[in-house]
Amino acid sequence: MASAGEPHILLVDDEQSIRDPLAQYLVRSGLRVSKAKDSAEARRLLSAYAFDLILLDVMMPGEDGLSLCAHVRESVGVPVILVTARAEETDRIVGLEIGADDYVTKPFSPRELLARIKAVLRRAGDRPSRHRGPTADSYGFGEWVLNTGERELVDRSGVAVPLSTGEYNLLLALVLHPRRVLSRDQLLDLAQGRELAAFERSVDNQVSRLRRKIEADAKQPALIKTVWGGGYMFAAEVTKL
Amino acid sequence: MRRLLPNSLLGQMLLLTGFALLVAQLVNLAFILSEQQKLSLAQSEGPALGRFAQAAGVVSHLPAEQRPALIALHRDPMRVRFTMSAASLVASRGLSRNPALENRLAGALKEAGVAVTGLEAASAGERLLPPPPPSPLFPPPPRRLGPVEHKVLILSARLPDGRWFNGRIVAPRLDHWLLHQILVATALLFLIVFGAVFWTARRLARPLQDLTHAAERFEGRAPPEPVEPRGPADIRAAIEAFNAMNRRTLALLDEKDRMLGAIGHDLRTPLASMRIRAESLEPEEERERLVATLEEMAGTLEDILVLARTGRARETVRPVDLAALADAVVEEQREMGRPAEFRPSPRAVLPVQPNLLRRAVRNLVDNAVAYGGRAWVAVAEEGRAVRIDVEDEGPGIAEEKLGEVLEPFRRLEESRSRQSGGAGLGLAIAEAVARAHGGRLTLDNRAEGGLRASLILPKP
Repeated sequence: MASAGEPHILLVDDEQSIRDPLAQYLVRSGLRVSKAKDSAEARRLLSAYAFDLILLDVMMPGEDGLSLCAHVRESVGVPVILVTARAEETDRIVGLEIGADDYVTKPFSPRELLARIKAVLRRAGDRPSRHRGPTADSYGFGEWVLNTGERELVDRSGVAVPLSTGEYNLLLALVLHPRRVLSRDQLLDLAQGRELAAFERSVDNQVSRLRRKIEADAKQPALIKTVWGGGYMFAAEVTKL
Repeated sequence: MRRLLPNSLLGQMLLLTGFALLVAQLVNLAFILSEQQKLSLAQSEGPALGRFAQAAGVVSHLPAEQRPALIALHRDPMRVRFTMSAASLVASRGLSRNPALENRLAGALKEAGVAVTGLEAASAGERLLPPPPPSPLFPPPPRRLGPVEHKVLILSARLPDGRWFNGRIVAPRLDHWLLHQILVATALLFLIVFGAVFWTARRLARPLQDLTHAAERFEGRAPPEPVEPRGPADIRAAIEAFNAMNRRTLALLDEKDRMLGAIGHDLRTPLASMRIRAESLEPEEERERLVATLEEMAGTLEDILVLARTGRARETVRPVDLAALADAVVEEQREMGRPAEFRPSPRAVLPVQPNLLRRAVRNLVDNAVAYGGRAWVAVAEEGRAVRIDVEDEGPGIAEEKLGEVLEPFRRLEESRSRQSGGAGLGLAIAEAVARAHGGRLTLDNRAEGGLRASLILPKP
């Protein structure tokens, strides 16, 4: 962690028309921001200063954002949010596989970006032991596999069972914290950190929907247990595949 | 009748050749048979009549007491028997006279210089033991044992002394053997010609089938497997032209993708810049209006890019439970507080591109909510297909405009307001996604009111 004061962000984007106003906005929002116009400049700054987070454009002349992201993950270990002007699902997965902590598509709402920056910073501060966000991993539990790259739940026969954004976020929160009692507030917080906008329905409602999808018998849940007075607990053994 | 006719190249060539051959053979056979008939008439009746006339000439000049000896001399138990009698044999046998035969008999008698005062002739069928084989060149066809129906000529001539000289002569049997030969030859001809036609048609049809399969498989994604040029030169040329066309098409599609990528990037960047700047705009109403406009622009750009790329999307095809997919899309709409409901539907698994399909269902639900107030979504298996129905309770669409709304950028006049939003690409995208999955999008007005949009996706 860099400084005790406001978090220090490195903003890397070859487009001045984005770099400058975005830096202004982030500074106004209480962050310290350094700007770099390409990967070379970013590397120089990275070797000179400590940063809390890197906001990285994917498509840049010279070394592109993906390559720089891989370098950062290996050597510096600073969380990265990728920003891209391409919106295809495969691009997002590639970005997450390379180790980015989150992924934002242009044009984005600056407020949403700020919320994501804060969520990533909080996660990084939460658990220094390299707990990463939505990387492209697979988690196995019971009859199911949850792929965080495709954001997809797959059953034993290989059939994908699509989940809504809210259901997915909730399930991911549960899967990442197995055998721990999580209160409704904690769950809401964990799930909301990833995806804003879409989590207004109550946790109980989402849990009962999830149970109908993944439990053999939704009336006698074996995976998502209700803890009286406490909240919920993911009871299954989760293996990272 | 139409259904009985073959549609394939092979079938039609065989049918046509067979028909032409049959007509030709029938004409041929008719000629042969008429010649054969004349020949057999001459063969069978001519000698019998001549023989009778000659015998009658001899008998008429002999005194009555010598006649039996001569008659006995001419007797041939198998084929010929002459008699003398007071009444004609034709009459005493009660046979009906045959005028044509009588004419020919008169001619034969005249030729032999025999004067008679009357004549009668008839032919009759008699069952006799078979004669020896007529043609030594070909082995005779297997024949039945025992008596065989033969044609027998009964001839009577009244001699100048008033007595009747009768002859009973077995005519040689018609030569059926020739008919057999013709039939065998015809069958052989059919076999040879059909073989040749079959071979040729297969040689033509195989590469054409390859071509058809290749055209069906062409999706514009991976480089297409070139069709192996084979068959006759013209077909080879067609295949090579097809392969070249595929390469050109793919190059065009790649270029389109590159262009769209560039456009997407070049428009998204300034949009992103404007979106960030808009955030510090005052007063707040002004900011909100600008943000809404920018978001609409971004949405339209996104839609155009998706529509232009559908069918070339890089998303992998994988088995997905479509009921869960539709349920998830509805749930997301509900998470945003929109009036959408999912009717519990049984699991229906199909290999699809789930993100594209989610977008298609989402567009239909958006549409239903925007124009019909509320969306009901249900999934059902129907024969060899899975259908995803999205129903609303709006006014529906006039029947004659149902087709129009699927066209890109088309919105019905009455709905051309900012509130119902969008560039009119939602349904076009849904339809393009359905097509990319080999299916279709149908729209119809429900009997209970409201519109039903159905994505119908075939099982593989």
